Amino acid sequence: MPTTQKPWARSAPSLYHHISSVKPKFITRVDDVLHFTKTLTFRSEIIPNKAKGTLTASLLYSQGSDIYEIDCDLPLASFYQTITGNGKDSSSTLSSLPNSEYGDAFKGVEDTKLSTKWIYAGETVTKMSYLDSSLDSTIIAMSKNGSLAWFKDGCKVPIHIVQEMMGPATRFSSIHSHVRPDSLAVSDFCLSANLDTVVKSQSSGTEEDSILKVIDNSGRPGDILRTIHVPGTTVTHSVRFFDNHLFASCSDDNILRFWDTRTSKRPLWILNEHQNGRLTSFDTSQVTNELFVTGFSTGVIKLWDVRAVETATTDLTHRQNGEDPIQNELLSLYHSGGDSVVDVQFSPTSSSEFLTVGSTGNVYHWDTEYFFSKYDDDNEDEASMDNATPEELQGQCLKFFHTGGSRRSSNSQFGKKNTVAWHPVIDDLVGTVDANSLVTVYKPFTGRDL
Amino acid sequence: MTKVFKQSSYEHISSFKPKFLQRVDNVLHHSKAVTFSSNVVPDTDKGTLSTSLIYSQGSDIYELGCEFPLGGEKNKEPKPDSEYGDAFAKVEDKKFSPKWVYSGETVSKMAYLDGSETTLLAMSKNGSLAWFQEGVKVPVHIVQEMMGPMTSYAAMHSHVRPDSLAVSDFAVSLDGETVVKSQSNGSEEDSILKIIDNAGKPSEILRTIHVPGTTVTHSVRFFDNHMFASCSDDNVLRFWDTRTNDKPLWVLADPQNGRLTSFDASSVSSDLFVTGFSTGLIKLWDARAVEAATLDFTNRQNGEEPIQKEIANFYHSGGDSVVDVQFSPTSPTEVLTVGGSGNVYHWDMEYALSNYDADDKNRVPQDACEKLQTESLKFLHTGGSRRSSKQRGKRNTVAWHPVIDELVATVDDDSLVSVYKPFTIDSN
Repeated sequence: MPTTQKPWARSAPSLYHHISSVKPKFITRVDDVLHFTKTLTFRSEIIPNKAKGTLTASLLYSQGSDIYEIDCDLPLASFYQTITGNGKDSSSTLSSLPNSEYGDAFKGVEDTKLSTKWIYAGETVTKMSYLDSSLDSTIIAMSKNGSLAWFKDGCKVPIHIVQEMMGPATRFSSIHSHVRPDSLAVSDFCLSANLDTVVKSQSSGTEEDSILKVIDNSGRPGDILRTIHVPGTTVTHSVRFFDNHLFASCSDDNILRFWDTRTSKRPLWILNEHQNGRLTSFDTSQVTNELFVTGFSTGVIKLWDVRAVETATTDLTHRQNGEDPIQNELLSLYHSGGDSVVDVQFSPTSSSEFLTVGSTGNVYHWDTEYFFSKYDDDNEDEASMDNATPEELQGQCLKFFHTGGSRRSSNSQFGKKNTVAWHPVIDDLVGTVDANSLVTVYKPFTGRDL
Repeated sequence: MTKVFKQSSYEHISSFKPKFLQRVDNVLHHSKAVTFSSNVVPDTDKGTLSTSLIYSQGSDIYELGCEFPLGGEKNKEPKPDSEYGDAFAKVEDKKFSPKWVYSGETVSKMAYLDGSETTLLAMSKNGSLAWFQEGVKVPVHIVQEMMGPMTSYAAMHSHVRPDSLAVSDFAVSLDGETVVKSQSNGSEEDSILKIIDNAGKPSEILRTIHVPGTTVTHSVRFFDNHMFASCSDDNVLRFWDTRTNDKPLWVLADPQNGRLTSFDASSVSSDLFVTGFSTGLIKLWDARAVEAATLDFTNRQNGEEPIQKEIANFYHSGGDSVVDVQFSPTSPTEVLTVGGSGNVYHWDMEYALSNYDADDKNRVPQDACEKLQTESLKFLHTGGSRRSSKQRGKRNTVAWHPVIDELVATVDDDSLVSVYKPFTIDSN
């Protein structure tokens, strides 16, 4: 049975259902492509074409202030199997065999010179979120200084802007931050599950204060509804929503703070994680609403249940007055070789899968199904997992890792955030962009698929 | 053309006085409220459409089933029918036992929650909230207020009559995830809004907002998932967002037409709202225009109030004060108002809206002239024993059906429950 193979343990190159890459060409002259910050995300529309045997998706790619749309025609056969049911149909097994050859998904755009779809003039785009084509605007982009811009199909310039006048101030705070200024993003934003609300985090320009802004995206997009101060933190580098109202922010004091958009200025509860190095990233599952993952500079990855974390703050059984609550993670994993975690992203289509990005540029694919098949939800006793050693868990959960392209550059530690993206609809399809502008889409081949 | 509002003929009307398993000493003594469940079951074989009414009497809540002739709904030409129908024929002789009980409290308002874990949200006279669930007789969540005597104090000292204005109210956001309730703080010059979760952890109080300078905030309504307005006894409507800080986004002060007694926002258009006054005046507003006016300094000096103009004015004839206003949940233009006399007025705002241009800066509000009044007042319901001049407790005794067009239920002091569908020329 191929399911017994442990992909992480083998030294052979990783196998892909599909992998294609392209270095886009541009109509405007680009002097030094390495100079620009690049980010990547997917649009959610897909167009299957049975006659041609293709599935067309499109990528949104930003380079400096310019945002481009790149189409890719994926071979339908590589994705067909997941649509019809897991390989019970033996005739489709053939077409889904692992393939380490590079595909030609970008053939249509390889030789075209791309012109910019949107421009956020004077700013450097650091993160993009696709909204939905049915909404008034199509994407939200964040710039390096924390400004937000709303773009819409057919209009090259932003239709709404939340401008921050803090260029030098940001620098000041990032210079004085006790973390390396370039390896941690100083601002972030996230949309609520129903897309009605945006929360963004930014440094306030002073040493010991970062800011969260709650911004409307329904009635009057771009309207700042509320500003929340996070005292004692210099940067709040990540914010994520759990549902329509509950969100968490992650700051450089290694504390996750949980908030509700409708409550006052204080967090609902907090999670203090000071033991495993610097807390660099976290993400919440949009499929379950309850799971989240944190990543550390030491390469440690932890999976949590938000209900358990909250319950622990009210449980005074094992602690004395004034002590911190005992909040235990569900599962702890690690990047081998101490590769620090720079980004974590839950799969938008599966509740058990997430990917992590190492500072080496490697992309790690995890599946916690094995763990959940053994985990007893109501048994708070940690001993329940005694039968599985950490090595075994690690082996069972790490499904794949991607090292391709020119990502494997250990010298440039910066800018790995928001350079990897899951496709919102197609299972397991991931896009990456490298510092040299190489755009790659791939679907991993893991043993369990057969 | 016939003036429709002169004749009251119904497409359907049925009424009955429910009987109860428990002995009810004096039915007049208990406060009553009514609302509909959104369940509708059509039965083409029998030619009926069944739905149910939720009826509260004191602390007890009953579910009363009713069946309508399907023919009048779809197949046949609607005919005016002034005979009483038999929608309650099945339950006429049934003795009802309470489906839910909010013991020790007097239910003053109910909202049917659709598609969520809980079925009904009920507010008691002192401002407490209870969530009920199908199959469980007692509340599954409670937000309890300990303010019995204090409420009375505030109500006594209020410059409004304590009984004609409810001292507390609640509203559920359009997506059902947030509840806002208003209540008196127990002190003379401060009322409170509480923002309460109804999604992740129902009944959790997320935030408390003080509305200074007001004794009671008698109405709150949501415009969409986040924006809501509160209406207080200082005749000021305050507009809020559940996600903003503790200050209103903007306000609308309307001190000139008597006491502001009620207001409602349309859940269909999300921009329109209506205010009702003790003098019988009714005003239709555009929330966008009201907001835009607060930012427009063209015709006013520093410090002056913004010039906020309504779309149109209407009135209850004979100065019948407005005690309740409700937008239709199925039509963007239909509104019903309840008079202090107990009459139910059905309005269609289409004519007023056809003469309204949101972008015209110089427009003047449409006056309550004969023409506008005739074009807009579609129907008047005076039936049953509602026509009592006793001013109290007319709020939340009239309800639109959330799904079936134009179906309205009322409950009277003497426990007479009526359901009716007006016959208007429009129905042809």
